[in-house]
Amino acid sequence: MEFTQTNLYSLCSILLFAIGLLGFLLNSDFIRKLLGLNVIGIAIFMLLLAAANTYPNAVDPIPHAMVLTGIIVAAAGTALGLNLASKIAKFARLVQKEEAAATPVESLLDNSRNDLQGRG
Amino acid sequence: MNDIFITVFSIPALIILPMALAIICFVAGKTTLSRIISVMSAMVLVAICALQAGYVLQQGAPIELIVGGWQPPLGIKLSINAFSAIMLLMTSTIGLAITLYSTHYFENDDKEARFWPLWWLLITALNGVFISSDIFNTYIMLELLGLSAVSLIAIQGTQQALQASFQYLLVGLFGSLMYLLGVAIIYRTYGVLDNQLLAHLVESNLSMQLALALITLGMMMKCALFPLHFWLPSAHSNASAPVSAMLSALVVKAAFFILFNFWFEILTPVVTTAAVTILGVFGAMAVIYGSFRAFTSPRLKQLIAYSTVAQIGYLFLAFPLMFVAPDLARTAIIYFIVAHGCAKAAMFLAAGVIQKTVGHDQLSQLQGIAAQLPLSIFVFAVTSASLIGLPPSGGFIAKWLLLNNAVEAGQWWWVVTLFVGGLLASAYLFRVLNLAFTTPAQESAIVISSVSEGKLLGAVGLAIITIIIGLNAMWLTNLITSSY
Repeated sequence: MEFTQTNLYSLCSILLFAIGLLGFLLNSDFIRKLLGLNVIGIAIFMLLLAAANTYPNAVDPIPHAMVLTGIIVAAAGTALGLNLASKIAKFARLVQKEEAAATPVESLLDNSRNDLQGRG
Repeated sequence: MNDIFITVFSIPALIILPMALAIICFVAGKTTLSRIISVMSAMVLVAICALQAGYVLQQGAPIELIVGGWQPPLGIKLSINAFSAIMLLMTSTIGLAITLYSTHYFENDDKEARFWPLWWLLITALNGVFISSDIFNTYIMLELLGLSAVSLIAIQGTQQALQASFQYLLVGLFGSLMYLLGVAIIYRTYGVLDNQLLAHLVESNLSMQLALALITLGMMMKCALFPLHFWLPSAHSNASAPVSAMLSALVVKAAFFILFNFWFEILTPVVTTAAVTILGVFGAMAVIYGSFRAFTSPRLKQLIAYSTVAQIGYLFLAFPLMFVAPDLARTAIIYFIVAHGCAKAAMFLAAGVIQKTVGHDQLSQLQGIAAQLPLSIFVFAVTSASLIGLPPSGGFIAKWLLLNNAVEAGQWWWVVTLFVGGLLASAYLFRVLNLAFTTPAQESAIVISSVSEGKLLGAVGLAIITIIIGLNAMWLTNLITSSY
């Protein structure tokens, strides 16, 4: 196989993909999982960009358009994920506080019990 | 005149109308205004989709729109064939029923103000998935669908709902990234994104096999096929009732629609007998496992969610049969999707009323509920008949078509799965009905302050549809089969 720029980019994207996949699957932390997904996304964008270099004197613009759109989607997804993660962390802190306090607040406890029972 | 409306204006209306509504509802922020325009527009959408479906099924040819006059491979094509026309009609009908329900569901104005924009974005994305005829455009719509579905679960605001929606977000993002990787590989190999152009070019080679495997993995995660179903029960059972109904009835079907298109329309030369058999086996395992877990669920909505896992399995049972009698198997799949969509949506709406009036959905404490909420239990019972596959419901016809195909193909082992699945379904659904009709002991009698079942109007309509498509089966199956 000839060592061209396209092949170098493709090789890098495969490496990045592997790193991202490992990060996504092996970590249990919310933010690390999101980061892993982002790295996977970047690997795929790189693969697309490598595909743009098909003609000797011109660049195929369609993969660039696809990557631009993909970046926007990835940013939106990450923003939503971070927002959800911070909300979940807030709930977790609330529970910790309750456990720390000797006399737990009745209403809050009731709320969390209701959630367990799946009240609407 | 009518033809011009259908072929030129109706396709963009499917995207523009719900998206404009999402923006209006978001900007206005008033629940009363949102309710009125939502109900009216949902009716308009049903009318448009009915016209389109009638046109496509009669003409037997897809309607197409080339956006901005830019021909593929550079431009994007939108098209509606028989399958997508039926999916669109189903989406708009179930959407109308759930919209009617949602106008009376929320007690909290703040929650409702967040619900409407996301709701219409979800419908935009569903319509987009069904009409796009371009593999990258499908990716965009898929992501829009995933993000709006996650947000809809999260507006419930409880800790369980937030955790379920985060898990769903991770699964959804990972699934669509796998899909995007498949698209990237396809684009590198052939340099086109249009479905039809691609279908002409594709040959079976290693890179296409890899692309199909990646897309299948991604879509299997999104439509919760058995080994990858882990996120579905918590996501669907912790959302609010209208959202659960939409997710179970339509959102998983959108992923299935994409998967089906890739296997049998676009990458057909790559598909082998071994591959379809593997998916069939996954489907069979989903039927058994999902039904079993539904039977042991302590909560009503969890039971219905596991039932969705089982019913998705049936759709994949038809995959091996696509090689033997494609037309019949396709009709069976379409029938199954419609029957299950209507039945499951109505069932979740009824469960929502039960949960709301009783205050919880623990099955063990729902004894004698039929006396207080007769309409909800009626809807539940009728839709149960369709899910079990009792005649004369739509579910019966779908299962009958599958069974017929399997016997003709000489693949009797799928028949066994169908029977066992039907038995298990009746076991877990009669468990609920049995409890509902038991006279409760005096001290544990349920006290209900206010009973309002008026919002179930749409759900009753859906339950009736499941029966009507069973009664008119001959006409409908011929119409669908002849339109290919």
